[in-house]
Amino acid sequence: MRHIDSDILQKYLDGEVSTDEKTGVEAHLTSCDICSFRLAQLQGRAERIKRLLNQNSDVEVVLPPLPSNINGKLSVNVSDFSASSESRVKRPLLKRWTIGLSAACLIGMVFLYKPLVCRSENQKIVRMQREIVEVDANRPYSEQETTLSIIDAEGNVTYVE
Amino acid sequence: MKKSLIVLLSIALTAALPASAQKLVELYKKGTIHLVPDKTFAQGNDWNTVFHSYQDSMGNRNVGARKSLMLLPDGSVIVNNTYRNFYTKFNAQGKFVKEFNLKSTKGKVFKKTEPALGVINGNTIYCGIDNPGNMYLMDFNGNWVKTLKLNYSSGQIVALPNNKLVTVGTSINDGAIRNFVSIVNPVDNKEQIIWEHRGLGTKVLYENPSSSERALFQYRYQFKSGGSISYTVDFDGTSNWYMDPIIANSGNKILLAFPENGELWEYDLNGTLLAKKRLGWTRESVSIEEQKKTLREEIEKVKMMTMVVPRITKEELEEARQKYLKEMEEDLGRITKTIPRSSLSTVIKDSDGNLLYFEYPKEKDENVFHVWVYQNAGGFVCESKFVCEDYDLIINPSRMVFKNGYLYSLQNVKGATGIPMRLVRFKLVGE
Repeated sequence: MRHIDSDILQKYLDGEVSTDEKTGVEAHLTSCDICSFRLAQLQGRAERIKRLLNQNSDVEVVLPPLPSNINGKLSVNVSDFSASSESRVKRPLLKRWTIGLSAACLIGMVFLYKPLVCRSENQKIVRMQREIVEVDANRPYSEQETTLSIIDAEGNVTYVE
Repeated sequence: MKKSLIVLLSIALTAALPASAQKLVELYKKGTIHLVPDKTFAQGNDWNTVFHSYQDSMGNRNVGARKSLMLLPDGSVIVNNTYRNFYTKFNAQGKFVKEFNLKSTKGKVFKKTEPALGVINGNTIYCGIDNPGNMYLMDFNGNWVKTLKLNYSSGQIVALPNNKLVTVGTSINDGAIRNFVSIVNPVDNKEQIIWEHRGLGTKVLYENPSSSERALFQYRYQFKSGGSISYTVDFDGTSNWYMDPIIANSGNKILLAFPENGELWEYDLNGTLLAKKRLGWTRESVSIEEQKKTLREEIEKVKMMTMVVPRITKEELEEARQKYLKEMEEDLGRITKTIPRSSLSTVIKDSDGNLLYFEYPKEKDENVFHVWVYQNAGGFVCESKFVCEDYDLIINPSRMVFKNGYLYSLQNVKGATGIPMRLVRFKLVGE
């Protein structure tokens, strides 16, 4: 059985699929436990991130482009923006965060077990860290597969990529 | 040529003997260990069917390839399938038996399960801790036995001989990140913290520190309207930042190895600290000159860097850049120490109770491990490495489990058509 592409599943969750796509996805979900499970995971992730974001403010962050081949890691602390009266961005929360965090990864905010600690105005702490997925002692440190995770103020871990 | 023939002959002769017939440490002392697949094990399985979830992907990642295994006391094998809620069982000869789920007392299948990690009391499997902080215990057929409420996340859980567990946990406590090592009693769910680390230098990083207090290589600018932008100079493999200790059990000891400073702490099973030692092997470091050279290169990059943040004016971003540059220049004069590179990657326990402490290799397939023997006071006795002709080795304790001198493993066979993953039992042959 061919499973639903992750991008389509995410779009479905964000309400961004066409009517035909929506029908197709829902028909597949009725008979596929795997995709239903994946969808539930995405929903859970979205809710956790939303909860996490609600502790902070709603400010879109665009990460600046960096020159290639750089050792330095530039990052914008998205979680310690204070509440702002400025207009809010309409993009769905999960997508916005996913884009922001993916961009952060792409530009090289790579911390191998090197956490970035952010503190908001209300003293809540969130840790964002890059973890090695599965240590392989047969590969150099720089070739380990990694993933980016967030620990929210309640200690929940959310994997965002 | 002559040497190769002798090695091959030696492998052929010794492969006939299980490693259990000889002390594993004597094999390690030979320097190179050939992992030779046991041709009698796990035969007749249709791997494309058995590991059908291997191709699972999430985003662009092949998450189905992230499988791990554990052994039951009778030698049968359970394989964990990442992001799936079923386990795959093989008998003691490696023959596929079935897939099974974790089920409640009413027979309801749990939708999300964590990997089966090990056995306590000889009859109960303990699983990883899930996101809300629950650890499920089940019998060998997947029937739920008990839920432990641990309320933290953990990347390492090891069973102890007294049927307790030792975990490395992370939680939020009093507004700070807390990393700790805890002994968990599954009978009453009580815990005993034997080591902890609070906070992560947040004061130094985020409270406008003076030049002398500011952590080296970390630069941050606080925007006037809130929020901040930071820049970190990184050296691959260095331990400027906090890293969890790697835990292991050998005999009646709990061992904590600290990648960031190369220390090895020994505790008894009650959590009493017995000794602090240093990992014996040479550790590399980033020299002062190398740090300065990198920092000078970074200064040039920051000068050229394009900085764009919505709502933040160009003038303020330029102010941020100038703050970085000023602090980076200051740091050139503050570099006075070498930075150790973390060489410790993981630990695997063998069936004689020895611990194999692995380094990160410089090149792929150039693994190195240091053998810590558990007898008497314990200590490092030799250095060795694994080589394997037939498989692309991934070296990790969740994929390599010793029993009776054999090494049970999940590895990808070279040159496979279809799904390459195999359950394989290796004989250890010293060169």
